[in-house]
Amino acid sequence: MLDYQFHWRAVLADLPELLGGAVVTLQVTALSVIVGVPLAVLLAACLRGGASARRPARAFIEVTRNTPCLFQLYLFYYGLGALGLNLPSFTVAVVAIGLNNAGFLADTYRSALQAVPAQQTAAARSLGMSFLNAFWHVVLPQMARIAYLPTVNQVVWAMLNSSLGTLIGLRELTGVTQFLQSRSFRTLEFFLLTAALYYVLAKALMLAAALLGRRLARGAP
Amino acid sequence: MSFSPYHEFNWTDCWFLLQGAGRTILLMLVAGTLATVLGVAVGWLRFASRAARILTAPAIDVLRSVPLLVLLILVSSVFGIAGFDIDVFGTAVAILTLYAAAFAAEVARAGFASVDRRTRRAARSLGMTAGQEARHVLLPLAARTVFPAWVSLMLALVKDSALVSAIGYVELLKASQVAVTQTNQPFLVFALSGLLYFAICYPCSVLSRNLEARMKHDLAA
Repeated sequence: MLDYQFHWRAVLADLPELLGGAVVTLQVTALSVIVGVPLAVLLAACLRGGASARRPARAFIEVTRNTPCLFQLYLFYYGLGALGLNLPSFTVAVVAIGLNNAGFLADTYRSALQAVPAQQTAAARSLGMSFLNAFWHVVLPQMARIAYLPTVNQVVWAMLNSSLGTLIGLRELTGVTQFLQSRSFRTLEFFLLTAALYYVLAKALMLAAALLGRRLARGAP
Repeated sequence: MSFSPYHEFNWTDCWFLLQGAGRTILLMLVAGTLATVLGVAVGWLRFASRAARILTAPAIDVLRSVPLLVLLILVSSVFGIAGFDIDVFGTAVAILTLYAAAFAAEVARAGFASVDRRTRRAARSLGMTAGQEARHVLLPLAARTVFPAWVSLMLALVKDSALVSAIGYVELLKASQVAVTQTNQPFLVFALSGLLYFAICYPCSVLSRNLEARMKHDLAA
């Protein structure tokens, strides 16, 4: 261990490619959130509905929460492939991580939805708003404030989970690192740098979320 | 009859998957026990001393902001460089322990912080030594509060253990991959292994949720 010679030059020369991988990581994260959050709101609404809506939603949530995310990726990639539906690994990563996000956020959103008094909807409806308008302009903004922090945590998790895409051949940050280190075998240096990049990405997401959160909290009671 | 490299999915494959599930459970038991012990120790240090809190914060922060897959590759490459004579199971246990302990430490710290200081002072004023108070008052009360969180942590550990398939340990997910390459029936095999994961995780998550609900009820009463 003590006589290990670090060689950073080859690693730093590949930094642009690593940053390219980081961009793919952020794309997968962003798209999986765009898939996951609306679906989670829908699931939350289903959970508050009758048994015929609640049961399938509950089943979906339990399956996503009680099996590993990597398993879900494999199921979509190899399982659907066997049924003749060959999706590219980028799509699989977005869809699988997106569904995973939805499963983890649904229960949080349900309790956030519950925390908005029913009178709010009734009042909005009596002012002549349609049901969807009332939900969009009155219920959702109040729900968003409650559900904001758990959502931010889930976004960071989605970013970390996107590294699993490597195992189905996606060239995101980990995948690019895996490929580049196979050219020079400076595994330790490459993955130390990648770990540092993930750390910076996670902190940057948290910072961005904190700034956005201040805007969201404005005018809160 | 034309030659096929594959054979139909049979009971031997089924048994192979079950063995994989057994190894997943073994990983959870070993890494879970070690992580709990380490987590409680670090959590107590973080609870009791400001210096320890500041010193351990960066390590916990990094462990929580870097994907497990990257940590796995990093640690196994460090073990390789250091010339540790350690098998895949040892590496898997080491990294899962470290990773889960970072979360367990926070759970433990929150548990210790939840115990009312007056209760602890009352114990001391009854003539208990600091050690007796810690053993008979602090630990049992803290353990009670964080038990549901601890169960969810073990649940996360089962799911995280799927990642050690990436360094070659044949747990449930790796076993299913092997079975897929032998039978070419990915959908069937992954459905089965998903069922096995679900059978391991679901009871834990129901237990955790029920206990949490009961505690909330107790607090309200």
